[in-house]
Amino acid sequence: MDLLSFHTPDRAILSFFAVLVVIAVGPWLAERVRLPGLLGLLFGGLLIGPYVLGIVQESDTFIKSLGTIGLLYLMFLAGLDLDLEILRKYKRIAITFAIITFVFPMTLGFLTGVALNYKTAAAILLGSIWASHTLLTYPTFRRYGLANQRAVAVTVGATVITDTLALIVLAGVSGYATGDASGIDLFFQITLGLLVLAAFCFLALPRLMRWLMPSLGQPPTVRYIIALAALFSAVVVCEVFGIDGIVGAFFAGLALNPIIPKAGPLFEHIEFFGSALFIPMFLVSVGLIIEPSVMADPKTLGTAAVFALSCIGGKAIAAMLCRPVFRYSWNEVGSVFALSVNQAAATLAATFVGYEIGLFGTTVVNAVLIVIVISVILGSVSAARFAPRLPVPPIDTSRLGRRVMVVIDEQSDSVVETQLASWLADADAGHVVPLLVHLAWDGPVDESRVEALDESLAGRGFDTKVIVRVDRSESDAVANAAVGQKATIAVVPVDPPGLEVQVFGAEEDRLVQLMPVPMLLTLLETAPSHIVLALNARDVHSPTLHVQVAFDVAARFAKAGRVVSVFAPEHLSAERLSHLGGAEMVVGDDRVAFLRSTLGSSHHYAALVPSPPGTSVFGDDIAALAAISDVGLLIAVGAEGDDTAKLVTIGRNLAAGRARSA
Amino acid sequence: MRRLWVLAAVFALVLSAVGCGDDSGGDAGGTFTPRKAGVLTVVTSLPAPGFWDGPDVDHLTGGFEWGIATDLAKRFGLQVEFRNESFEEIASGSFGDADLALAQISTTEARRTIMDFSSPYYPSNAGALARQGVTLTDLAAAKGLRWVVEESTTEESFLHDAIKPDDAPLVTQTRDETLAALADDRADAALLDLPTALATAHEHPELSVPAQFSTDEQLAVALPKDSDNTEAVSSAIRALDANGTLDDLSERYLIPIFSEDPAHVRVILTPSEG
Repeated sequence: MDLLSFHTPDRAILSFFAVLVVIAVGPWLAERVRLPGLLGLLFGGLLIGPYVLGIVQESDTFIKSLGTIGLLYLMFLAGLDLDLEILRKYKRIAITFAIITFVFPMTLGFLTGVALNYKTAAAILLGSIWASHTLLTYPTFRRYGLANQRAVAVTVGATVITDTLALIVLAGVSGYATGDASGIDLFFQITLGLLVLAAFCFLALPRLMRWLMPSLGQPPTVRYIIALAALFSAVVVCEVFGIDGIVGAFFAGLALNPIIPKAGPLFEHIEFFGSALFIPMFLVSVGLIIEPSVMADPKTLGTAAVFALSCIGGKAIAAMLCRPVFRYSWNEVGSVFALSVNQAAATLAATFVGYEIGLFGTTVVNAVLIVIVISVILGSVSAARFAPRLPVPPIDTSRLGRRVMVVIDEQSDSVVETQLASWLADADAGHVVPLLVHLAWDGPVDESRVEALDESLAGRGFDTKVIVRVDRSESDAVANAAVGQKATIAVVPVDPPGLEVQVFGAEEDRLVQLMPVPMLLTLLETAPSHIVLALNARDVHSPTLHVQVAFDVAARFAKAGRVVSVFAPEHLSAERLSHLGGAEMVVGDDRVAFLRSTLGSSHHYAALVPSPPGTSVFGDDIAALAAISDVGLLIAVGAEGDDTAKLVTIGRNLAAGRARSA
Repeated sequence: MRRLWVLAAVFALVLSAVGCGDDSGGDAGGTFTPRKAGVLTVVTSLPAPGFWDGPDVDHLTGGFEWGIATDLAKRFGLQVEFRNESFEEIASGSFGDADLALAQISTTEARRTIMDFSSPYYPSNAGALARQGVTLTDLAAAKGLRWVVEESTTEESFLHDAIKPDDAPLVTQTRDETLAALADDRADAALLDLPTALATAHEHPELSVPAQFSTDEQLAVALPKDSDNTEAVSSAIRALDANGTLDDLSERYLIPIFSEDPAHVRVILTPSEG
């Protein structure tokens, strides 16, 4: 009699389990031998795939479908994660470099394909595969405080363009290979498809998201689902026009890039699910099609050698051309190469599509995987060599709104202050961090109130969570939170100065002394639509860091669509005004009188003034300005010591030094 | 500068070694080299309505697999010739002088040991062919039926390993014997591959296909073991799938001869037979 009866587990469950084991263990093992985790997933897929252990078979459609979703997710996240602000900042030079680093590998790859007697479509696709790159070594440069170094920033900015161009080529090739149209018909179909896709992604989708997020998307789970729906809606548009879905996924990511802040909870959720499940699923599913016998075949190895020379050679030529074209140092040239040589996400995605549409066979796929390994190793070695040799640039103060901390009131929703903070953040594609200050002796924090504030913010379209800081005083809380939250500026509502200020001094003055980052002190009842940057003679003739911050803030308000005008004792240069969106200029000596007589009757106005140098933010005529009823007041404050940039640079140098010694 | 020239020379050398060493010319999707110069020789097993239309290989008029064969020949720039063999002969891995077989062969682990398979071109679930009125809603109901199955088919082992009927199934040698068993009420249902079951139900209105069983098997082009042509055929099949040719062929040759759309037939999941 049989006491035990064993059953064979369901194949789908077993396959999924095997894939999860690879996702958990593969990257860990790869990183133990100093290889990127991505390779652990690829070779893990090979191990459990049909050609080695056979746990996952070619017929496992469940795993295959998850892999396809992972591919789309990968390209979505690639578009979402790119730094469009860097592209905007270095637009001209980034476009030039993008063209160089696209054209050379593309040409060499295409010529390689032609020489190997590949069909024209396959040769073009091969070229476009080498033309793209993945910023795998960017974290190394960031660790060294080099994110704003010109060579690094330009390469990062150029990635947006190279990958977009590569995907447009892929759209054309896959359209040709899978459709009935050819020649001029195909050209029109793909062009029309790309135009419709661009209109859908860059015009319709952002509006739809901005409308849906504050209403339907208040619960975090629904926000995530809306983002996913946006991704797949773009994929559907692509498929209607016979364009491969990864183009739509990438475009959707680019379109939502400015809407979904990278430090916000929604991006965190998207990245979490992507890195935990979907993207590893895709990488493992690529590993499933690796055939060890094909990979070890001399023909595959020879093909890989030619591919590696054309890809790495093309990227090396492009990097070297930076020396005469942009006058880069050799260390900068090496860094450009270290950043742009890596072939990973976009390469794998396009290769996988080439395989699925029958343009590439297993020999090409396996050869590409070998090139990926070589390029990643070469990129990592080059990054380790050149990153420490680049000089750390001073902090980039041009991105004041990258992380805007706003102090909110426990009892009210601080609608005006959060609105103001969002204008600053929107201008720099930044993120708003609401801070709730709770004094230590006020008893426990009311969690339900915090949740209510979170919901209220979500209802107004903010993708953020309230940070609670318990401290001894409001000043300590705000200053410490600014450090902890890595704020680039803090928006702090203040009360009008009363009698006690004259006797004891303002609490705000203590805050100014403690604060490590610039501040915008606000006395507002409503969100202003018109902001007057009001300067006095000293601000114009002996500008302090406070004046610089006031200009920076005004520029961001102008960028966010607010009307900005300037009141000053004399005309400012046209260049200065152009940074404020071509602000209207009013010349006069007494700003208090001007504001009282001209603006005093409207809630739509707010005066923006630099903090006076000295001991009190309410010194000079600021207290008089604060006393004007109905006009809002914004006081721009630079960090104490007028040397924020230096402090942060020192901090980065220290971090870089630690990284080097590690 | 000298380093660049050395690199260029190495590049040219490797390129010539990889690209020019193969007389038949390379392709990113793989290279196809026929056994008989200029001719793609395809072996199949007739009759196979829907898949091969026509009484013999000299009088073929169309069919799903016929369409695939002619498209493959066109892609490889070859003429196409057809040969007819028994299914047993083909399933045993004997291709004679043919380059490949297109004969509704499903991919099984056992067959992989004696032949190569291309990327799949059609899902191959098992279909239950029953007399009108026989209900089949789940696995429990399937176990209670009296089954008939043809010998040496994948459905025979699937019936034994996955459905495990209460009564031993009736095993037949030919399709006619199978249909006779259903007609004589010696069996409630026959287990066939789904396309065959649907085509048979179309020809015999007294029969229907109440359910299909998910088998994880698919139909694929079979090639001799370790064939150098597998990569090229696989790439071509994926291309036919991507550009919609397989759907068109199915729409043209299979759907009209089926009693109903396979997508509308109830799917019964079974525990994996490992």
